[in-house]
Amino acid sequence: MIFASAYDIYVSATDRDFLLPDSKFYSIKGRYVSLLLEGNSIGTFTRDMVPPDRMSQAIFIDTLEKEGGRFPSCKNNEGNLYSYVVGGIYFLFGYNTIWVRLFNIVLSIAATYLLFLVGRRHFGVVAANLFLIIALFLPTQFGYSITFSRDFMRMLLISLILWVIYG
Amino acid sequence: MQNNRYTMPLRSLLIILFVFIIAFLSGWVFTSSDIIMKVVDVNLKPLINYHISNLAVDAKHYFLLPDGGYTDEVLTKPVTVHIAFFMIANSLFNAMFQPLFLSVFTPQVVLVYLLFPFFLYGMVKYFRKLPLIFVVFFLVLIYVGFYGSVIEALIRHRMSCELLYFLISLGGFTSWITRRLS
Repeated sequence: MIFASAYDIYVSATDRDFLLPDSKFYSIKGRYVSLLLEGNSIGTFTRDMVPPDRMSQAIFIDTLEKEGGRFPSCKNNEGNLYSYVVGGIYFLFGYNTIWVRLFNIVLSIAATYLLFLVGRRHFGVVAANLFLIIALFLPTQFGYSITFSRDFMRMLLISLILWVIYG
Repeated sequence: MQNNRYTMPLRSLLIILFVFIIAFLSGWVFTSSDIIMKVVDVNLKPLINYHISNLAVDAKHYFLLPDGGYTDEVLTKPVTVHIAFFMIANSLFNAMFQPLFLSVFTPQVVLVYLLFPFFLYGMVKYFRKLPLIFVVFFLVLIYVGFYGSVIEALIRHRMSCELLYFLISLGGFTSWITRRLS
């Protein structure tokens, strides 16, 4: 996780940052929400508020046309709900993808730790410690921390429910 | 004794610093070196593009059960017991057992296969004590596989189930070892 954090910081802090298409979508939507939270309205949005690449610009324009300066509706749309999470992070810490990645890493560690507590109580210390070592170095947890993924939140929610009941 | 109190945090700090330096250096080497970027451009990018565009097609051959195309069948025909069983089994097994081909996730997939007997042992031993863990595990796994038994089962949506799988399996493993030794 330390390695993942360090690598994510490096990738985000340099110009070599890259986002997969769905991550880019959530990033731009989140940026749109954060701009609204900062008090912008449809008249004050400019293209230089998002990265200049073609895809980011297209998503931004599409969002502006669809939402028309209003907050996105979350009704029957889990994706828009996640845009609010990303937007909230950008609003609080600034527009940099590293914050969302660090957020993912924190959620991943928290979910693992909660399950570790459940395991320590019911499966024993050895099993719980083995679980902690394996879970913290799982390639999926490591690799997907770089993406803008809702799954880390789902994972924490499941761990939290199980910890409340069995922890 | 007092020395230990001060040297342990220092050692931890040095280890963390070392990991950060290695991570930064590896990131720098990977993204800054022209040679490496050329290798990536010439050899890896076509491979990655091929992999992404053919993932669904290729992965089908590696899954335990075929994709089946049951979505169309459900939409056009009434759901029979046979179809329902096939759908649940398909989504469950495809999401649980990842296809085994060489990638960054291969060690994890191998571990999942190796721990499967202990998962079964853990399930038998702990189901009465912690039923909800198993119910959540299977429901989320079925949901993931049900949504799309190839692509969805292959990517990140199964992460929460993975943690539960490893917890149960390692619980079963240590319990089995303790029983054998006693």
